[in-house]
Amino acid sequence: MMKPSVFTWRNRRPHILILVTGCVGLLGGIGLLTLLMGTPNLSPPDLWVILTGGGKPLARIVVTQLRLPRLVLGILAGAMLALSGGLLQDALQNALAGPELLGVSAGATVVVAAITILHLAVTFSVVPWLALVGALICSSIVILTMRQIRNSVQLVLTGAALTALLNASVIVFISLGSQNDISVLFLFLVGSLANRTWMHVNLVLPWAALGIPLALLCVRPLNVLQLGDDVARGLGLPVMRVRLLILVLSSALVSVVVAVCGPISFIALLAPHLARRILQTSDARAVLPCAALIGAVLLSGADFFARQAFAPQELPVGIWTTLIGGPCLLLLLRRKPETQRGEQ
Amino acid sequence: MAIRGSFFDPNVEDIAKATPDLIIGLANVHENLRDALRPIAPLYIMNPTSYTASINYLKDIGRLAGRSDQANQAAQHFLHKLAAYQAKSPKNKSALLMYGSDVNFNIFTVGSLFGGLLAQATNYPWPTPGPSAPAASDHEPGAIPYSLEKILAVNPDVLFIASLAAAQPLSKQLANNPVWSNLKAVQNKQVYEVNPGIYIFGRGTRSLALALDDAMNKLYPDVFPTPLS
Repeated sequence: MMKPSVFTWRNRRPHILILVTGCVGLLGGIGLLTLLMGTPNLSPPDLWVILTGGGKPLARIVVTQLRLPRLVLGILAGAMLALSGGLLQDALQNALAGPELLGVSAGATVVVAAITILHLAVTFSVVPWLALVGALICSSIVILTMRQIRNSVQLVLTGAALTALLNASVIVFISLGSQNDISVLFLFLVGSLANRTWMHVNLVLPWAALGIPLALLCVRPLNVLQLGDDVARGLGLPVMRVRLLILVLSSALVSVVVAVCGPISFIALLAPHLARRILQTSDARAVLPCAALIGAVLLSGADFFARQAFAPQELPVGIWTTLIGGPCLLLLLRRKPETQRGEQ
Repeated sequence: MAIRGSFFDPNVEDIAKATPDLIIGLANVHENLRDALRPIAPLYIMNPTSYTASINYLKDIGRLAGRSDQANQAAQHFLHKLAAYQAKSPKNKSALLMYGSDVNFNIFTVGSLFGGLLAQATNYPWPTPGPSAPAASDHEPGAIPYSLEKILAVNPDVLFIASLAAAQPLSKQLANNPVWSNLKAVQNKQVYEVNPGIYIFGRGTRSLALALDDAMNKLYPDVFPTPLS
């Protein structure tokens, strides 16, 4: 992981202002388009009438019960994924560290796969709760296993190995499934925001309300960790304890997103890298909040395309985040900014 | 005898032990077994996407099995049944066949096997995706993830759902959902859990006829209290 560049609010203020203004502007534009476009297409005055409690019943249901919760969920989930990625990359000092190392996705997927393939008698509204329990149990196992490890590279490798083990159990379910069950499971596996309602937002909201501020409170220890374990210890930071706490927080942020939306890839990896690149610093005080904003823009924007590109056919948003996020990440990792090259 | 393995990866040794004269496989799933199965028996790959393709499949199998007369007779019987439903159906109710749950689901468009058949006998307003749209599932041609907004706008009279096994009746679950509960099919308790074995997995004329009998009875119980012959 690169060392932090010299950061002062004054010398980075223009970058931060441009990034925040750009993200807020993009979010506003995406949000407006999300609320306006679809079946039915609405004009801005129509939308205003609906948002103030009037309008035709169908349009009101579509806007207030489908488009609005989907937009809110996209913003929250994008921010939470991005924060989780930023926390892990800094805490593990690894540019490729992501939530998949924590077994979260595999845990939720195992539960959803079991329900789908084995046709377990579970009501629809209970499925995300059970997926959340699966994600938390599996990530707890992974984190407890990591507890004894004293080296960040070993942490990454252990997380990857355990997650691979959990993913193997998903493959077992897939091999047992019928064509249609697998097709439905596939919609979960690639990640989607389609058809989510306020019930799903309400499930995510308490975790976001608690997790996002806690993540932003981690910026100081993250900056110390970026200096390397020896320096961090020298500065009095209990390195492994802090690292495990960050793993737990990261896992909590992602678990609920995966349970509700499925494992949406690349937002967690890409958003922190984009923030570092635009701000030209790896200082977590600036990177984490900006990464959260970028994550919100990326996911809500990708979801808008997922909904509109082939309407009325829906494409899972995870397909777009992978198609766009993969090449972007490769490009970002290939071309490090000059300031960071100089520091290494 | 039972063939071990899975649908996607059947045990070839078991297939050999069964000494079949003909092996029927599903397109996009079993083609890769062709080389392994060649010494055992010829492999006939199928995946009909329309009822006419299903009739052709029936005739092919009749020819391969040396029972063309019976296959032709069965095909005629199916076509008569369909014609009888078409003639008598009021066609004033719209239907939707889908599978999955309230959030992750695919619908069967007219381009699917049973969607296309149902469109012959009732109002089935779910057109085949255009040529520029992403391909549907390899296993279920014409079945696609679809906009719930569009479903709300069309507002079908009857929903046929092949879902996960449910702890509660589907109609009750959807009635509790703030979005699905706005559909008239849900409000009028016209949501039916259907047997995927005949509605979706069955690709022959026999299962198509069974599914048609069932669907027409549910759509128009006064007109079709019993299946037409």
